[in-house]
Amino acid sequence: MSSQGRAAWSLLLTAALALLSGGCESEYSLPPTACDDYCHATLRGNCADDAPADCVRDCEKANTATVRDRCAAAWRARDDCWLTAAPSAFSCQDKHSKIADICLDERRAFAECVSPGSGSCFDQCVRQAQACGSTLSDCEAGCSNPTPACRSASVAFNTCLLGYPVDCGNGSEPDTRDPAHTPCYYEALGVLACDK
Amino acid sequence: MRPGLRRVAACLLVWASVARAQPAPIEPPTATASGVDPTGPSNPAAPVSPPIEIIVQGPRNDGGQGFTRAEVRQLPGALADPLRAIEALPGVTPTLSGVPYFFVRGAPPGDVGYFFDGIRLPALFHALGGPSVVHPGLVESVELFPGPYPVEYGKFAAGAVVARASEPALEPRGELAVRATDSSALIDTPVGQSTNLTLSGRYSYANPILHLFSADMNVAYWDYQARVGQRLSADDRLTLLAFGAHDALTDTNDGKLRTLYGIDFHRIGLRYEHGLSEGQVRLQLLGGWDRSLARDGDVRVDDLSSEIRIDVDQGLSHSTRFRAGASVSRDQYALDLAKLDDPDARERYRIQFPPRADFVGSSYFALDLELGSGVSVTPGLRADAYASRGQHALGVDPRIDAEYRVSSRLSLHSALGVAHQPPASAVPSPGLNPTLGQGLQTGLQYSSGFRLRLPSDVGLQVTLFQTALFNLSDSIGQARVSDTDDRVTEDTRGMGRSRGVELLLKRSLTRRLGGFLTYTLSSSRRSVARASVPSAFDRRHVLGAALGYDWGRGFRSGIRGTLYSGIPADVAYLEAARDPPRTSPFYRLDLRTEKRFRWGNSGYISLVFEVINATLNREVLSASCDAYACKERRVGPITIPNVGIEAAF
Repeated sequence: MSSQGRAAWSLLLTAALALLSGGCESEYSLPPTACDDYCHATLRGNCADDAPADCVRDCEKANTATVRDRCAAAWRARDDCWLTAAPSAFSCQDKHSKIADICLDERRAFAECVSPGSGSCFDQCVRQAQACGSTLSDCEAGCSNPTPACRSASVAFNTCLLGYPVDCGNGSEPDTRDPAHTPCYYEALGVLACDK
Repeated sequence: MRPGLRRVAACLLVWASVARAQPAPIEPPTATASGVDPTGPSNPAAPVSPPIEIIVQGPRNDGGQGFTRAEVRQLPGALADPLRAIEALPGVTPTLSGVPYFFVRGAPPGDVGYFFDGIRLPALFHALGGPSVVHPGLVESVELFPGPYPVEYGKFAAGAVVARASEPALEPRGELAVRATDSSALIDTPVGQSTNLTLSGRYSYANPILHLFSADMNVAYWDYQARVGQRLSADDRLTLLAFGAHDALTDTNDGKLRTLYGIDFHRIGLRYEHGLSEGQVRLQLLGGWDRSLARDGDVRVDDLSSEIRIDVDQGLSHSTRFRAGASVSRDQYALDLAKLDDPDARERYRIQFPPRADFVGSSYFALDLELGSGVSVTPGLRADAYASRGQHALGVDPRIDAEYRVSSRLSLHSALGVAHQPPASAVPSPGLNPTLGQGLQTGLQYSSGFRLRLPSDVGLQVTLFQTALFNLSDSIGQARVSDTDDRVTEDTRGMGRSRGVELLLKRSLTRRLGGFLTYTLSSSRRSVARASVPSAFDRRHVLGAALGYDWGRGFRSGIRGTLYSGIPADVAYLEAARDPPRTSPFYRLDLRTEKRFRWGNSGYISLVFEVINATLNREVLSASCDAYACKERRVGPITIPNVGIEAAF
């Protein structure tokens, strides 16, 4: 074989070796963040549309760095609880992972840490989920939102609701009840006024 | 002799003796003779005549690489379609198997131009991985110019795919292909002494097969080509060429008919060619109509275009040729948003694709210089002036390529060039061309390498390349930034850069044993808003190999393998997106086997069985990762079987 031929085959061999060695395929380059931990603990339904990156992005938007630092212990305790839960606690809803109503104490503690006083909101969510079959996590997400200015109004409203039976009324229908007979009507007005 | 347009002078007696020694006819597309004494071969005793001239025409080797139609016929997975075969070439990174959008040397699909017979093709393939929109029988060869490309072509920042039309037949020829999803036919025949007529087309009936996979979907596509050539004199030719295509892929969702892919385009061109003493001048008038439906068919864009163009190719001496040309074009765009309810989307379309008239004036000039000692250089310059809605832009594109023939087997080549392009749609579609907006994209390209002719007619080509794309409009390639940074939208311009090495080892597939090995090692990145990430379809390794063997008695088989490494995964943090995990690699095997029955002197009937992705591998569409794990979304298997009958005379 000529020297040119040898050079050509050497090049080919080098290229093949580079390919077979897998090149320089990289691993994830950052240590896990709190939101990585959260998504690792919650995306356990093995559902078709579960997207870890989207989950982390949503988590970052929903929880400021201050909240994550301040509530690191409660965050960790909640994640640990989910991680130790049986796989059967995770299912798929609309091709996304859904968590059963487990780790309620840890979740309540986290909600209380993020937004002091929101424990009553969480309790009301649990009651509603159990009585009406609604999704706890959807309701739960709303508990951590009130601004400090609205916090007292929210606490008053949820504490009031806890004193009444759960109302599973159709949310899409207008409530035509007399205000005097509507539970926590004035507390609800307080929340609405605050939101404005 | 170096490929290119060359003038050969020979004496009549010499010509006669050559003709006896090699009785095989010269193929019409590659050679034309003028001034030949018709009595020559039969009258060897004739006195020595003045020298006659034979013009040998062939494609110049100006940095392109590709396949001839004859080779593509033997290439498994190409469905005998030259345009489909370009995905097998080095430098081409597929998005997905069977999806006709390619990244070329890191440049997005919208930055690569496709030309048929010098006319831009606004779409390349029919829906659902279907065949190309031009009948394969009308395509003599396809060449990919992944780097600095010839200055005759322009308005694309990255590369060009050039499909050369077959020359008009000297004797009647025809082709017929009947497949499970569509049928096509071509007839090419002389009419009288100086006229030639070519008609071809394709019509689909793929719905019964499509309904096996999705009962709610319907597909319809067709295309046509017509060419009339009239030789006016020995030096003058007039050609009328018309071609077009239609595609409609629809489905029904909640009782509403949606158009998932809907396009039409038509072109009609009248070309006058006049032979010069050492070259040719070509004048062309072109008209076109393009239409695309977007957003489930709620948006319709129309483009009525016209162009006048002149090209001159003339030899100045035995070592110098010049090529020059100019064109002026006008595109009248219309936008119909009557069916679109979303006000935000309406506004976006009005800004990006408003009704308007765009003008482009272009000119180019290039010299082919033989400097002696095996050195040839081609400097060129192209300028395109754009006007759109009161905005103006000028792209000046200098390009140069050089070749040094070290020996009869080894040559070195280098090329450097600049190319400009108006902004492009994320997914190219007929008429869906954005306004100038934030100005032209600019491509700066460099490549260097060698070509080596090995024993047994095996050729090796190795090329190093580097490309930088400025003011790049590539919403797909920079998706990994826009996913993680809300400030980056699909309109945000960025910068792209890619570099790598390409290898092509090839023995013509028309040989009894033929095949090729291609390999591309590359890195392609996007920089947007101070973030630098890999392009969304940056595949570090792309490997292809094919082998074909003629078993005799009309049996021929081939196998082709394709292997490519994964694309960057979606991650939440920009820091992780700089060097993210990758999806799993993908490989597929394509098979082809054919039994050909001879018919007459040159005709045949073939039974062909071909399958793309015979291993039924599922391809990874995307991956989403956090610090613990990645979740891949797969599609497919995208497997295209083809059982057909092909006939030609």
